Amino acid sequence: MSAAMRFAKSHEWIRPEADGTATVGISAYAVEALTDLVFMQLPKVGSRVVAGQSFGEIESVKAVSDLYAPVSGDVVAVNATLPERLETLGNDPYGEGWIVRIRPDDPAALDGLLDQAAYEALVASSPH
Amino acid sequence: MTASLAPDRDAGAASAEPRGAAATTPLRYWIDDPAIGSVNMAADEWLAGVAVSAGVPVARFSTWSRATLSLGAFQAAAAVPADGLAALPLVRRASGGGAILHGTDLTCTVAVPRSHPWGGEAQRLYDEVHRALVGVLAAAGLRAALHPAVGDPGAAAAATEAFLCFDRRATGDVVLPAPTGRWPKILGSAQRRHHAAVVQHGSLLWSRNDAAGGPHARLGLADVAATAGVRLDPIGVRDAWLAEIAAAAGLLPALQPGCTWDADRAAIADLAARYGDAAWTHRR
Repeated sequence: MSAAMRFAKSHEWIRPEADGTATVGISAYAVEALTDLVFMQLPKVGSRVVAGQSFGEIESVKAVSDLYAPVSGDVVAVNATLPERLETLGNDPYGEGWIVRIRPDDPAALDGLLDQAAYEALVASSPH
Repeated sequence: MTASLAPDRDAGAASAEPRGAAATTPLRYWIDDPAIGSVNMAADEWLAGVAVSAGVPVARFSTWSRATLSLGAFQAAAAVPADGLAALPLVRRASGGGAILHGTDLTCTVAVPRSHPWGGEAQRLYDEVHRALVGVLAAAGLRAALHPAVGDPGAAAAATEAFLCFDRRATGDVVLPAPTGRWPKILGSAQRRHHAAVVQHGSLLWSRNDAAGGPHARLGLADVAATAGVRLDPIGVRDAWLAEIAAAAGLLPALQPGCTWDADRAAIADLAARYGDAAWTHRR
């Protein structure tokens, strides 16, 4: 896992890339908490995402959850085959299970998110 | 016979650590008048904000003013079978799961802040609310169980993507023993997990619903109970169920006056407009 990876309290991760974009996914903890995943809706390439607001939805056997954007920006790529192979989210949540790639309005906005240690502390204190 | 529906604290499995403690914090709940689908969906969503403000679970019980088909969030409107179901009013839920034929069911909505122990893993809230009903039915002399139940010929069957919720089985669904065949499901729930709260609405199929014709009618709780010689009072079951949920959460039931839309008419009207919009209903 990249040391530059950051996490939102809503359990999305974001990793800055060398080309100025950032890759977004959901944490292994979130995938496990959601249990069996059955559907996912992704945003369109070119759409806007706003920090803290929903950019997609994911359904498990029991629940539908929103996916929240960690930072604001434009969607430059989506993992289009992910909805057909949702098991990838559980098998490789920080790699092949990436969800979207965005171009952040302000790359410095990632600094306001949690680093891995802080996120792990958050998860440890979450209700189980 | 008419069964006693007073909550039995020994019925069902132990559920949560608060049980047994002296409850002083209220579990606010509403018992709403029958409403159309968009209003029921709006009131359920509104409840999420109430739960966040309260810091503890809140609940509402609702019924439907007319037979209605509700779609799960990801179901395609075009998937509605072109039979009696297609003639019914249609509403799309924010939660997942299969479609529900409403009209003879009781909907129990519980909203929980994510900071509450029930706001973590999805299965926890599901089991707490469902186990509460199993306890109520046990006290009434009716055996019920959570899927997959020992002895149910359908317990080991593979999960299906049946169109209707009551033709699916998920872990924790409430089923009733049947002399032959797969045990009928009488309670299923689905959740919408918001950033700060989880809203779970469960449909308790009280009696057979023939609004869409025979092929879609399923036996309900009262029907199965009657075959076992148990006559259930819906109000008694509802009240005992709420008491069990509150006890499991370590809270004191506190019935709120009026309906949820009396409590916040403008907000619920705004939400109802969205749920009543064809663009929402037919978004998939």
